[in-house]
Amino acid sequence: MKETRLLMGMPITIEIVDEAVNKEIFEKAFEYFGYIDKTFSPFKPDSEISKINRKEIIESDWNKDIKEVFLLAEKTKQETKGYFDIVDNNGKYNPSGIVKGWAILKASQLIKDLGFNNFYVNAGGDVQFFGKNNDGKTWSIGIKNPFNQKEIVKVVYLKDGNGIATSGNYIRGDHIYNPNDRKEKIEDIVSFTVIGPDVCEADRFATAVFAMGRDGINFLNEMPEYAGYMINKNGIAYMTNNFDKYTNENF
Amino acid sequence: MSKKILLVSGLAVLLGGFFVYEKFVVTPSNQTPIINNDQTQVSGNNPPPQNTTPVVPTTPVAPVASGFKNGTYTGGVAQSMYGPVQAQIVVSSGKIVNVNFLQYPNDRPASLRKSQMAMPVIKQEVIQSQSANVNTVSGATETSYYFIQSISSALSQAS
Repeated sequence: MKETRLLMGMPITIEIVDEAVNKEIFEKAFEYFGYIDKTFSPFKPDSEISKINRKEIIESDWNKDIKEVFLLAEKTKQETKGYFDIVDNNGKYNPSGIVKGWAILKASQLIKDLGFNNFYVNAGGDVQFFGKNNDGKTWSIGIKNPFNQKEIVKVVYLKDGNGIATSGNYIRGDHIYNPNDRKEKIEDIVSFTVIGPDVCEADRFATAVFAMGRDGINFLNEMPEYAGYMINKNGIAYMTNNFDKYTNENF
Repeated sequence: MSKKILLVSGLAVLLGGFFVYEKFVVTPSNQTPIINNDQTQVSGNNPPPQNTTPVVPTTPVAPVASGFKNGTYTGGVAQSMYGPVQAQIVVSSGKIVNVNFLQYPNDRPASLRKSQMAMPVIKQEVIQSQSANVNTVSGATETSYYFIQSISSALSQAS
């Protein structure tokens, strides 16, 4: 059974292939994403994040999910040498770069806790996988062509627990420059896919490596539990040394 | 599926190939991003030209029966999880000749500080379209839905 809804400004698709699947479980999972949007959206004036940014809630009264996401953001900031930061130039919190992967994982755990073992949750192109697909095989996933959303340019296979996240900005008004030489424009990256131990891990690093530009693939290459596939504006893809194994269904 | 979605899907059909094209354009940093609505631009854009410039038809196009009034119309701001989205349409001879994106979010805000790193040898390849069937797909977060909302409000002014 498979269902897609538009929530948090993106399509969210859940497919569960366990025999015991029922409508109710989809309802619960989508409800959870609704809660996440209500709590974490910096663009909703009545969200908890907006209230925190207006200093209407003191730190000791923050909701436990907010605290958990902020801790994860701080950890990611340290692990990525400051590339990842949920605090913007005005000192306001904007956790959108990390909350998606975290929420997908939480929703997946909710589905798992209710006894389902073979499913995926795809929110805006970031996916958490569990178990096997409808044919009893490893879940397959296509990486979208950033120049043509109807095409895929790579197929990867993800095992139980694995997650994938793609960061990109296909219509870019901004470019990244080398701070040591402003005239030198760093090669423009249009799409950066990260495979990780789970979707939350994949998502937080996808955000950071995309901001790193071309160095992002080297950064990821030194982390063996992650794999990456980066596409530049000329249609050239760069991949981590371990990426190939994910293209083999039986690895 | 909600009424709202049905309504905007109808609009997407009306706009033809625009949404397919929307994602291909790499915009030079010094100008407002401009997306051309000419459907002939849709095919063969893989990869896009390095110096993409906005294409505005120089010859007038024949007005269509249900054409829009000529002019430039700015749509309302639609709020996505990642920030405000706003579109502007340019109507000439009753047809939409340009869609401009006035505001659009980056799907992953993060700081952009750079550091120097050594460059190891990294495997590379030219991307190629695959025909395989897959269970699901991964790509950057789509904001198309919000562009449709904003364009919808611009269109209501033009009709």
